[in-house]
Amino acid sequence: MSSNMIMLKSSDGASFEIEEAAARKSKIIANMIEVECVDEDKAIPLQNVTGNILALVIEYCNKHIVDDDDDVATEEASEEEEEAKKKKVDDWEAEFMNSMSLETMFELLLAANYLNIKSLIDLVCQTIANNIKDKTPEEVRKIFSIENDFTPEEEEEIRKENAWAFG
Amino acid sequence: MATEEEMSKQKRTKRSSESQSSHPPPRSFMSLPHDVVLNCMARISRSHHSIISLASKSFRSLLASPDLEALRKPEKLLYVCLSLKDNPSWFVLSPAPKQKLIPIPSFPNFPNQHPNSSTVVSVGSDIYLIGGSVRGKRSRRVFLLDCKSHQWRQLPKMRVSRKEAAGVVTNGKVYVTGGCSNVYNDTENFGEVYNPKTQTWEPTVTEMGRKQLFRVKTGRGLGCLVDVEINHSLAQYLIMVFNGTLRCGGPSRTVRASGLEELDSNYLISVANPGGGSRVTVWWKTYNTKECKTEIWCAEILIEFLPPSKFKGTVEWSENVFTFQGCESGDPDLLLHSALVTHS
Repeated sequence: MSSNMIMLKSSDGASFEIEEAAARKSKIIANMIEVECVDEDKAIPLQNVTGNILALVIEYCNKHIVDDDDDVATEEASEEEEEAKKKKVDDWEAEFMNSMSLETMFELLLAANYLNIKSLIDLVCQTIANNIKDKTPEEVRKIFSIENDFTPEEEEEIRKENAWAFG
Repeated sequence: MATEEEMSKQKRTKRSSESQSSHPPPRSFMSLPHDVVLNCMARISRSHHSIISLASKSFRSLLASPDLEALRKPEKLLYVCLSLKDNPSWFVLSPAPKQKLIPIPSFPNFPNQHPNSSTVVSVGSDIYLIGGSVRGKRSRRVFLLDCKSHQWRQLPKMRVSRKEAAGVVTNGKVYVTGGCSNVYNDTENFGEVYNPKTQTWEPTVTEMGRKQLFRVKTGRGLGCLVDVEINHSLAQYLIMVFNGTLRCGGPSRTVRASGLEELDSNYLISVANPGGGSRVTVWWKTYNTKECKTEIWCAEILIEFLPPSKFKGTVEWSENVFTFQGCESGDPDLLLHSALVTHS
């Protein structure tokens, strides 16, 4: 694999140099490279991604190029090695997401969606799902800025329908 | 994976939303592209839905939408009916990590109360509560809990009243045997079968049903049968709780399972294997008398046979799954019913 470097430019004008292999994690950028709309001297403008979010995307892609290269050698790797490697990636991803505010997660998810980086979309969606799943309705509203649009009458009705074993 | 068309659609929606204001407010979850919101929500177990759907109307209709159902992965969930404060109460166990019992709407105020000693089986995502004892009398009534909507409804009655009958599901039909008055012994009404498609009960004579009649008060969670591998074939053994400990063996002799030292300080009350195979769930309570709270604990245990005559248990997980106000230790029962439900 070539280690060509390419330039990405965020919506707020910040430029980032990234290995082509890492940039190819994005289907959109990979497509641009395939059809040769990438001028070697020019940065690829990404109008929907701000610099701070693009930095996170690049951090993620850099961490994950190695895995793809290793996939070729999968057959030779022992089960233990595979597991250890997977755990290392999982730990890194947990740490990566752990340091992030919900607001940042949403922006990162939008960027991953726009750039079409499936594994990053999956990672952020799973983290958000884990954040929602065992919350109370009040917590869900608060954390995700969701307005309670039930009328008092409707709320009463729902409460009756869901006459919990222990109220 | 998004197609070219979908991608360009997303880009378009994004641009149009951006053009509306140059200083957008903080991004909210529900303002993310619809497919991304669905992608997040599809990862949440169905067991959590009844609670989080109370957040808002849009959240509730999103959770109930066919788009979301199409994205969800198949899921197996454990439903249990526990005896709490002498009341049968139904719950769904949320999956690992941090298993919790989530209450589901209580048994509706049908003309009758929740029966005792019923037979419980599951077909797909439906749970059948069959017969049992109501005010001391055997009942013909049958109820169905639709685990997609958590709604109870009444089904056609059985031909014969039964309690603690043996129940088994084969090819999507529910076979019920025994548990009836002695006058039906050796008659065609000793067993009957329900066909959910035609919604009818028919008499049946089936050896399969009779085999299942091996009863250890199975309805009360005191004992169950497990399939354990021995020399690459499966053998059926009895697992039961006796004096607070887990014992395994045959009908004539049981031995205490080894390897369960971490559970030793607890007085086990119930055991069941709703998923079949060689895994059981065991249930017990702990009391916090200071705050007058009762904790319900559950552990999943893998049972292995150690030749020539020993059994070993391995605790796969153990959690405080539910806590409620009250600390009377009066109720001797805990697990009344359990059923594994499949959402495809």
